[in-house]
Amino acid sequence: MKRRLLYSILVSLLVNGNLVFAAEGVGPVSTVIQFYKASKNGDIETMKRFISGSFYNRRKVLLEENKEYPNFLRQHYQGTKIRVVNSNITKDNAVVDISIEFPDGSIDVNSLLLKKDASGIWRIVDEKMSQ
Amino acid sequence: MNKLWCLFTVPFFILSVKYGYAQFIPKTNWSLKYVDSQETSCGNWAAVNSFDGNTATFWHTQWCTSNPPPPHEIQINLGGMYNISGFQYLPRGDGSANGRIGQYEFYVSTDGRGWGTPVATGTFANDGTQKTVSFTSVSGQYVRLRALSEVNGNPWTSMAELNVLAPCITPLAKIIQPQNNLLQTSSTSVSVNASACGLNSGWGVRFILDGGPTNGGAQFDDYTSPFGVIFTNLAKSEHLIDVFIIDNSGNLVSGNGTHDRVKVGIGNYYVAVGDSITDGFRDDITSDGISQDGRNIGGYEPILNNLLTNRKVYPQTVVNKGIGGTTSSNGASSIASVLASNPDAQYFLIEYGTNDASIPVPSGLGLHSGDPGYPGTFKANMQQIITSIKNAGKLPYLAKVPYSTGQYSGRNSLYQTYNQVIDELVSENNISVVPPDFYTYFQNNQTQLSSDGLHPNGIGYQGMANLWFNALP
Repeated sequence: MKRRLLYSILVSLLVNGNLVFAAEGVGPVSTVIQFYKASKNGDIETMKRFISGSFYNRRKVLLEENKEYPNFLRQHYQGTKIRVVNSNITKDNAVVDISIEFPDGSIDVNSLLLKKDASGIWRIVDEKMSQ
Repeated sequence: MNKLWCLFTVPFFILSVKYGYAQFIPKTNWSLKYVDSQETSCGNWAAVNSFDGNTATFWHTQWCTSNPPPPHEIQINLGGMYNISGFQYLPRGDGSANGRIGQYEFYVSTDGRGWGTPVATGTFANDGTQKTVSFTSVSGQYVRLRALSEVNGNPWTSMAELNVLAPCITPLAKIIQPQNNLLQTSSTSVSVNASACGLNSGWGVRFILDGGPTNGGAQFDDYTSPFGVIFTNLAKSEHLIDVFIIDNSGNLVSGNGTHDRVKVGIGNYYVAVGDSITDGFRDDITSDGISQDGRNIGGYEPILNNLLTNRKVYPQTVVNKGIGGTTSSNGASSIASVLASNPDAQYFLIEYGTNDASIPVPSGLGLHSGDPGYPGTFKANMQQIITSIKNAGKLPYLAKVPYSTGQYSGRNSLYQTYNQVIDELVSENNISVVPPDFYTYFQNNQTQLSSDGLHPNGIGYQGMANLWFNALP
């Protein structure tokens, strides 16, 4: 019940790039927020700290080889806001649904899968795409 | 003697073939007894898909809202007692390895409760081909397949079709090669291999092409196993191949299963590669879901096949190789295997970008290999796909990324730069076909998108087929 209450608060939480999330660096929602904050800043090294598995592999060439990717990310996410619309957290797994809101009012939704590794760190490991 | 005579009288000769002594247990009375997981919340991947006789549908364990780990299992009531001597596992046929079974156990039971020890265990190879497992015949009415692992360690299990095999006790003929609805382009010769079991001494197999000599076709009787023939010089058309069991006097042997038939076409071969929009996800019109020739299933491909066949007046196939969730990068990685599995393909219809925009992947507009911002871009990936296809001697045709609405409307600005890249690629690679503009089409026809705002609905897929049809020569 407490968890449901927490989620309902998160549902209404609007986070922009300047807002520091209270639980930064701890839970899966915070991990997602920080990842997108790093994306918005074009901070590749910080982005890489929050991701692994398929999520990293899908971006590997861009993160490791494309010298212009930071600039692209800064431009792409300029003026965007990231909203957590839902989250479902179990012991070692989490699904966090987010919506990115662009300055022109358009949006893009995504559902991120996170896992907690043996050292207790949450990382985004995959995103939900139609099978 | 027969074989020599054949060489001089009809334009075909004998091939070797291994043939098995088993027959399929009919699925008419099969029912699902139990499955531990099936995904039906965001699509139809129900367990019954694995024994519906349709290799295009498949069972998939849950993945939309949860991902329960293996082992996964399915239990099936065969509807009667049978002697069971084997089974066949056909992995999903859409090219994705998700859920492909690695380690397995197979059980047979008389009552569906006491399963005992497995009659077969093992590990399937990691490829999309049908796997056949044989074991000492055992009596039972229920079978149980347990998937202990997935080939890539993922939590899912998937299966296009399960066949259960029984020892052959009555005369049975089956065409092993070619598969029904095969379409050839590179050769006008067709190799036919048949298996036969339950034959009396001196019996054989009759091969008939297009109704036999009296109908302009050909006929050959083979009394020596393995049974096979090659028909040559086939015209660009549909061809029927029949196989009958014959006795030692050349009379047809009566009975169920003593005759088999396949259809083979000589014509044009297209392969459609892309994501779920190429796959046909959320196509809500079932009446046009299979092409009139039975070759193509789902999305715009069967509709395009019908249109092209009517225009060309000879067989066409538009093989659906769309895989949901894939990006241009995935396409670049998988194109070699698609080329290898479709050696007769002539034309490739390519449409990626919808999922690239979610990553987000930069377009690479105006860039070329060697530029610092080029690696991993949409342009780099698409160029890799184009190069692979051209190097294989095939023709690549590109399509523009469709417009999205609602919860995916934020992707449109990237789609527009991707579509500028498409124009660049068409120009730089001398591609003769003007890309069908799905962006403008769905922007102007938003009611042809499904409720998710991203995938076309049934009318939308018809629109895509028409745009491709108008673009293709």
